[in-house]
Amino acid sequence: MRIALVILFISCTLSAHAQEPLDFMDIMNWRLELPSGYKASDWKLSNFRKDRFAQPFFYLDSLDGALVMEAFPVEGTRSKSKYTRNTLREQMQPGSSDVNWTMKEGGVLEAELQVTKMSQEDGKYHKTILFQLDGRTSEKQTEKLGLAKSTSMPLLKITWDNERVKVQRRVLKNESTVGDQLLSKSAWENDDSRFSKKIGFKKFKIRIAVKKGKIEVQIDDDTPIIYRDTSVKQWYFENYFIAGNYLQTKSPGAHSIVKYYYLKVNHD
Amino acid sequence: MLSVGLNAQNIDLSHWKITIPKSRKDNPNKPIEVSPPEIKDFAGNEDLKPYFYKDPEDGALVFYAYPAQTTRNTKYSRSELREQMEPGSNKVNWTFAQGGRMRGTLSVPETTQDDIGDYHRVIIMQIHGRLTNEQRDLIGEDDNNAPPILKIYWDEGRIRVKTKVLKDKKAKMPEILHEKAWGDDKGRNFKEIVGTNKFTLEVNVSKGKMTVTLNDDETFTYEGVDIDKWGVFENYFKAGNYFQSRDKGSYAYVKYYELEVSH
Repeated sequence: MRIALVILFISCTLSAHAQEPLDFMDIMNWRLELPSGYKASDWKLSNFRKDRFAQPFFYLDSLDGALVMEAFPVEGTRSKSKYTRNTLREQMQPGSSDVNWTMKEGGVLEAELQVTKMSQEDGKYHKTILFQLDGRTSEKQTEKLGLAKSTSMPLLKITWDNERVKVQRRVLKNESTVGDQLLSKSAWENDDSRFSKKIGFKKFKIRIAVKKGKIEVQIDDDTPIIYRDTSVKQWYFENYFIAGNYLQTKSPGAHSIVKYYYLKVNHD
Repeated sequence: MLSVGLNAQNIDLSHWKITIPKSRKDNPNKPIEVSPPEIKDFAGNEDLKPYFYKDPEDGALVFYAYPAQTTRNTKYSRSELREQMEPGSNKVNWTFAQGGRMRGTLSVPETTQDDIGDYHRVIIMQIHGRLTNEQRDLIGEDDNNAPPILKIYWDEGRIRVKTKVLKDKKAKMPEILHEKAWGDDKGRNFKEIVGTNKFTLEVNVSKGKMTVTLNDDETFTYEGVDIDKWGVFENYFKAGNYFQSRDKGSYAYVKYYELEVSH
């Protein structure tokens, strides 16, 4: 038993050499959260190729070099997530979630990806959220609202849903809402759209561009979905992107695999 | 000025005592400690060998620790050096007014992970306070233990610095001599990510001021009422591997390539 333990721990120790960076994503600008409750950013995340705790969920495909993100429910974990989370959260400043970007500053996410596996239940595919654009109260807003810590709310959710790509966003229930009321979750409701193209299990490109009151989501070279109205203009939160494979179930046996061929964010 | 150097070519351990996570034969509740002058022959000491040795490849001094025998007042075990201004004695220490400087080049090449993959943390440098006998008697303690004013951690590839702050800024003598008068600050991380690479840390202390510098680049400065009032304590430097885990099978290695203290 003692020998087994020693071997176990040798297998998960660190490399004496720095990891080669990935050429298709800036891994230092993301924070990973896995179904097991494992979390990693900056150095710890960059070490994922040597980390046996990351590997069942997050690894490079040995054939095409793509980043594979697997999601399946894990029993007895410390994860507080309602669903099965395998997500990357943008961190403009490596290791910190406190630096985010405003609607005015804007941001563009570009990725090429492929859902290669999705489990079914009662003849229906499970769903997974591939991307989110989350808003978060700034330090000032948090203080002004008298909250103990910042609160967040997604502005955009992009979901693989029955072989198609669904885009859900938040709109104001009442367009004349102003001031701190805009930071209240109850002021907003969901608004769904869907790309007509059947993506299925094929590789596709996506571009999410946010700038000064305009949000544009495009798949491959198809006609983009564009939002440009009061709801977008009145979004006062600070923002960050989320990418990954956020499987929307905790059903036993559920399992999804998403491969990322590239994942780039810029704020030029 | 007293300068005590330690490096691969010229290991001078004449002002350091080593503590390792192995029990003494004559007192199984205490860890083995080796002071000057015996520490100079560390390579010939069979007890020290697994925990404190020179790396045959790069000449670094290696500190290996895992959860085992601890010292009094502590729950974690260590392979760690304790400064001894007077070789072989813990009695002579220094105040902030007297000042001190410690500079080391080191790395944390290996540490294990816990059950969900968080890396175990290691304290790699410290400034520890110590009560004089008079202070000890004044507050009715039975030993000279005082809190550490400085703890420097390797924390998942980053260098994290923690200091002590007074819970009540108005506290005076003799309350401030009590360990419970002091709490932890929230801690600060240097921007640079060191991972498993070599890095240099320098700690400078003078009256009312303490600075910590990583790689001769970013510096954290501590001053104000807490540091001023800390002036009452005597202190000593510590360097090595104070391993912050009690998990079965966990361990860490710390390597020192250079270590120098001056006053």
